[in-house]
Amino acid sequence: MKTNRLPSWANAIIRWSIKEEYLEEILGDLKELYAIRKTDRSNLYCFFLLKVQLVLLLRPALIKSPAAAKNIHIMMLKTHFKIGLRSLWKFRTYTFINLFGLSFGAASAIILFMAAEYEDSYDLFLPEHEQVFRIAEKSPEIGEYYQTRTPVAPALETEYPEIIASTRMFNYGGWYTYEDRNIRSDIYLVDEGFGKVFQFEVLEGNLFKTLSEKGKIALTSSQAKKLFGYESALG
Amino acid sequence: MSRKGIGEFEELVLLAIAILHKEAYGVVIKEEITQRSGRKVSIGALQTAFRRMEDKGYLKSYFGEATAVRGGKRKKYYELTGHGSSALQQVRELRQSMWSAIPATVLKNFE
Repeated sequence: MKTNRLPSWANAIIRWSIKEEYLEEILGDLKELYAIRKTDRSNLYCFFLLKVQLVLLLRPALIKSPAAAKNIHIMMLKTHFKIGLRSLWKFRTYTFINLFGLSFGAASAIILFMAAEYEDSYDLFLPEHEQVFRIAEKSPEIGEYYQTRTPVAPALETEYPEIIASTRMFNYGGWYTYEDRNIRSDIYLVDEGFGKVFQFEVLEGNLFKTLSEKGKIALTSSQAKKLFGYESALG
Repeated sequence: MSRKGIGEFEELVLLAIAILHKEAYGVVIKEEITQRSGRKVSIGALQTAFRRMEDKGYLKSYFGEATAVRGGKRKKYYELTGHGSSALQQVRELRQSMWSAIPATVLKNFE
């Protein structure tokens, strides 16, 4: 009795991938199918059909579980997790208190770090941002106060040689009318030291000349785009 | 594994097994389905259907004789369980009751 055989590579792949308990049936079926097909098809085509069958055999229900699933240590870990979850559920109140406390703490810490990072991120685009300081007043009655009197800056600049430049700023922001449009803008009244303290990149015109004359305005590029579109903001 | 009801492919497999009666094993079931429905069935698709329906309790199987063409491997015969045939029957009854519920005027258009 001549027994029918599959090509050895096909045999090896099936033995390697398919679960032991289905091996006999699947191998038998494949061999029978292969024999039927060999009667009226070319060898090459039969190989191709066999390969198609092999690919279609790769289904979760039929293939061996990966080696990891059989590993005793991983099984043990799974059991530990299961037991852990069950005990968490058994002591629900404490689980809730602990989980809530931990998540609240973690959330607060994250928010605090983000706030600190935000405070640290001011004016980093300026070339000498480490040298720029803001002057505040502190008095017993009202605590810290970020508005100072007008003569403070010039006085400090003359009395302390370490101060290279100073500027005073006064917030004058609000609604403004340009042609027929109402525009909300942050506007600051500044003195001529502004250009030296905040060394902005100038796109058009002369910042120092603008700042040293009365009745002139310097615009940020986004503000200029808002007002004039893509036309020049000068003139 | 307690999903109820029979899928369309599962129904074909069960019917083929019922037709073949005592002679139903892998390759023959595959040929039966292909002959009657004209669709190509892979051994993998068939095997998963067998596994699923064995889990559901629709099928039982036993090993038969080995043959040379199977390379000395035994055939595995499949048989409907009582549960399997009643599930098949239920599908049929559902179909029939829905068919008979179609109004005659609509049914005329089908012909």
